[in-house]
Amino acid sequence: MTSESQQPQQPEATGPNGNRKPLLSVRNLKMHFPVVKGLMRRTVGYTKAVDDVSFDVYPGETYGLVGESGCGKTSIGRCITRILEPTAGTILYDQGDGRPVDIANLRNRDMRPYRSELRMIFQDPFSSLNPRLPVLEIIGEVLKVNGIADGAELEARVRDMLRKVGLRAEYLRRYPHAFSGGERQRIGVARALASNPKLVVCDEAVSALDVSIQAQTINLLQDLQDEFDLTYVFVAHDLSVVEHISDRIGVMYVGKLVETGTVDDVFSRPRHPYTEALLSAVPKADPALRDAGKRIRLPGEVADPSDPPPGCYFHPRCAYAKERCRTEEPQMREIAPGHSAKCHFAHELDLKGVVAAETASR
Amino acid sequence: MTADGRNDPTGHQSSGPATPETGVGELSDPDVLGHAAPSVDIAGGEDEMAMLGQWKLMWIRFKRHRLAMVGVVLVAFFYFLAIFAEFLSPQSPHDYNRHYPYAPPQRLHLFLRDGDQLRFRPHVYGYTSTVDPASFRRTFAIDDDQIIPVRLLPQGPEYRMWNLIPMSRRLFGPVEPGAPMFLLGADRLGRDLLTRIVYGARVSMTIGLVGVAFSLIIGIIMGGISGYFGGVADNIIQRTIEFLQSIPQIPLWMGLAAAIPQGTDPLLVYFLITVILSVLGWTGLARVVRGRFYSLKTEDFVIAARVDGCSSLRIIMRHMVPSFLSHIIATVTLAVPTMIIAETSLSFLGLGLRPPVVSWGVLLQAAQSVQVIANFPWLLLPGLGVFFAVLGFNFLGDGLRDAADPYATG
Amino acid sequence: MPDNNLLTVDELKTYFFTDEGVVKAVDGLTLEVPRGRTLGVVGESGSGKSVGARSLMQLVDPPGRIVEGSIMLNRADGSTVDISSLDPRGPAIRAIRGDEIAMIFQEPMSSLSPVHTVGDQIGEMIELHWGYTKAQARDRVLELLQQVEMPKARGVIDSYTFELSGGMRQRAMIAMGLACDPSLLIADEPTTALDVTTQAVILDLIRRLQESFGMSVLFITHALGVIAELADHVAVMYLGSVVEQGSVMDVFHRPQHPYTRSLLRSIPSLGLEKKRRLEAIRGMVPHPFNRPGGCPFHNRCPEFMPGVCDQLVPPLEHLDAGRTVRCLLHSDVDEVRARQEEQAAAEREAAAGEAAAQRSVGKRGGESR
Repeated sequence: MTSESQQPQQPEATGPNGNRKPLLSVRNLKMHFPVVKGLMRRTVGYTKAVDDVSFDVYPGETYGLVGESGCGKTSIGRCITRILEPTAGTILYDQGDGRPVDIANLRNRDMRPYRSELRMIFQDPFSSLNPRLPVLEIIGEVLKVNGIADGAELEARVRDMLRKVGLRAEYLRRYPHAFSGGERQRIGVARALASNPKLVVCDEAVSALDVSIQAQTINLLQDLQDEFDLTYVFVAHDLSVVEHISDRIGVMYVGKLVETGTVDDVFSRPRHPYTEALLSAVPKADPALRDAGKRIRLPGEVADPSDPPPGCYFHPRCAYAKERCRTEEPQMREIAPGHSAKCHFAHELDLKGVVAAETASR
Repeated sequence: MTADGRNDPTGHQSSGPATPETGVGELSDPDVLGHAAPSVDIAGGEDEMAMLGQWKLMWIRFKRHRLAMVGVVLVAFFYFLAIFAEFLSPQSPHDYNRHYPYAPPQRLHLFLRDGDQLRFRPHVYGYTSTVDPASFRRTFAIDDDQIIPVRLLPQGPEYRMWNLIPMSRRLFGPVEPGAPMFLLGADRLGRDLLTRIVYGARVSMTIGLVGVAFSLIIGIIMGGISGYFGGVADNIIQRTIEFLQSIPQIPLWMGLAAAIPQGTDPLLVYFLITVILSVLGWTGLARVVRGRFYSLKTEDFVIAARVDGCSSLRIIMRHMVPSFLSHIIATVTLAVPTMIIAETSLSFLGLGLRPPVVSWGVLLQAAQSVQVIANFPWLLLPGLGVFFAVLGFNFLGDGLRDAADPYATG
Repeated sequence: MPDNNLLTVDELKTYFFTDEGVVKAVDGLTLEVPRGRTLGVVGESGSGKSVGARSLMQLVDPPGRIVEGSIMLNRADGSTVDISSLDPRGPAIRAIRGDEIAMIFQEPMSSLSPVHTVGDQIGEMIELHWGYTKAQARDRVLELLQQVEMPKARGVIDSYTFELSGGMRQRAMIAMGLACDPSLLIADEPTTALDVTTQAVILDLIRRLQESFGMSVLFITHALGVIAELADHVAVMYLGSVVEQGSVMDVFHRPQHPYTRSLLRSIPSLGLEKKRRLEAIRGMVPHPFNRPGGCPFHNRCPEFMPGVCDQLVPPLEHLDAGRTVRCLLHSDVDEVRARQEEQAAAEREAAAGEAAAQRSVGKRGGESR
């Protein structure tokens, strides 16, 4: 707990929603996992899964967190839902009553009142549903343990929820094995939304689904967001999906947030070389674009989060790296209103976004 | 459609119109509805299947395992013997007849030739004995002239069923109480071996269960602590298990069994032996439990339960234990035969149960010398009891293990 | 015409005979793999694309087996062999596997041995197929590792697979696939487990290798974007059969099958109008035991024709420019109906005749499969 004082790490000025206060305000969040070795289980180091990350999530928006495997995006989602206990930092959750709670530093017991408000949708529709419980009990568990509903009322609410996610209400006595992957994911969505939550962390919620089922589920999530006035933190590695569903996004690389801003800004005019490379690597579903635009291919491998390079973590793979990048770690700076990047040369570089490539070929 | 009338557990009918969209109801999603689609109709069979819980699914899978069903029959048979030993055996296990030591097995005949007619008159033939003057050994021969009639539910000496209910009839026996009937032969004191094997089942079959119950309790507690809390506790428990498992079993048992003083009450001996067997028995179970806890702890649905706000106790009892209970039952079933064999071995060596307690191991003690086996091979018959009981448990456990995770494949 | 194709697959059927019933994983697969080009096979889970690829090498494990169809391979010496007729464990297929047809998989760790070094594993294949000595094989392995642009190839040759990163493992896997200069490389979702930046690098590599080796590549994936980046020709699979095949430009820009059209519309694509609602395909992929009759796609199809699509099995139709499609929109429905009714009648007759024959032999029916 070093940086208890709320300083430089400035929030991204005002959000897209005018002067509304953020629902969730993550500041200097750290999640370090000890690396243990040997018979005596000595801690020999730390894997910095999340390292000093700050961002805001505004009510009613979808905040996308993107990055490659091991970048820490999933850990952030798990800190928000307090599956993990953060090593340091604060996560201020403001229900609108002007008295924000710091979720990061609540004891497990004190976290319980917020369990029904901060929910999660899991990636794997198979392992995330207990095969031994019928749908009614899977979805109803959150209502029951938090004393929201019981008995006939609980059943009525679950029926209602099933209908809302596009499943038949009569299915509530069925077990998960009777459903296909897409249907199971709908059950997972129903479980997350049954308690009328404020914020839902979607952890790769559509990544494991087939192409045709993915679209249905994305549409469902968007419809439910409108209906229940939900706020999503959408964690995913698929940039096309994130672009489609998010209002604002954060790009992560080796535990750090390297760029954040509105989707349009970040995707059309990236300010961090990693974002540019990421966008360039996404396969485009149009063979005519195959040779359009410059292709950026990153050399080398992702840095080891337990032993990151000095300076900017991205410098060994960065085509624009200069001497300064090797020694000095860049700070998050606001480059344009609501658009920040963690790069020394964010102002100077002219990086290629995705729309540019697209329009060039049309 | 292609099942060719085979049993299709998913309940899809092989004939009839193809039913589109397995299980997907009418989706309210506007994208998904849309136009006159072929109506969604789900076969009744599928509905049933969809609502089956894990135990019913396990039972369906278990029933398909032929050997396991053989195991069920064997095990059930032996427990039936054990429970109703008093009634099912023709004598009391301690009835002896000094006229018939080592009497060989008789054959049970159902029909008696009466002139030209065959009449249903169950009987056995009696013995004539000759004593070899040189060795003083008594040898028996079946004597066709002595007919000992046998019947169902004969009146005999009074006994108490389960030490409670006074009864005087047994399932079958000689019409005349005390007449020699040794269907599986007699032992050194002229006691009926069939009776003793039936009574032996009582001790041998329960000692495995009781021993496993002890192991299970210790195993679940230790394994649970180890797996759920981890850390130092886990370290200590795991090292203890490794220590215990590296001690050679038989010498340890022998040492412990030898420490039971002679003349201890037989019931207490029985209890102590089960404790001795469990000293090592729990280690394997603890490891299974620990492994399950470990793998389940990071399972998404357990994490989901934490997100739901469940307490640790609720997570363990409602979300974790049911997930491995079936595996534990299977493991336990496979542990019982080891216990039976262990008891038999100890008793055979004279270190376990001792007469007057009747167990298969105690009975086999009588067949320790080659000479006895050569002359009176029927004394080995209790070994067959052990053999079939152990086989039955292994078949049963194997089937349970295969059925334990009904979600493994579709 | 077939001379331009390295591999011609015709009406291949691979079924799995399970206790629960027969799963028709591949049901009428018709494919043409052109020489020196890349054919992309795209399909969702359950479309049979992986089983189909394994069938091409007779790598289907029991209870699955090829029940019908042919796989004609035009070999380098000008001869032609039908792979489907070879014994899955015989020497003939083993000579083809790894030598003429090689395969790389999604998860390199499951197909690379953890107890042998990269060099030993790849070298062994070369020794086996080409009769090289150890030293010769080692030289060849080094050359291969350099060809797949393995960083620090000289070090990697003596390391174990668990010491490598995901991208390097996939490179090692590809080097192994290329070891014997195959004429066909089957790649089964080789980039699905990789991160997007690594995927881009590996796709570039496969494209370059395909050009420099002049081999054919059969690239299987669920990702339309990957196909668009890499393939020359595309085959779209749904529930065990190819519903549409053609050049990548034709299929992506002028899709003829409603499934292809729906699929292309349902994926979010970078840079397209934001917040446009995705046009999802309704329903779910049917359970393999519950394949719809008629056209397998009819119950999800936006252009469903009642009384036609749910009754008739769409035949393979040849369009211009070497395109094929399996959709009744492109068929003469009356003709198809007449043909299929005739066929059904013939089958009924044959079945009746057989049943009668069986009855006359003795009452030993029931064991029909």
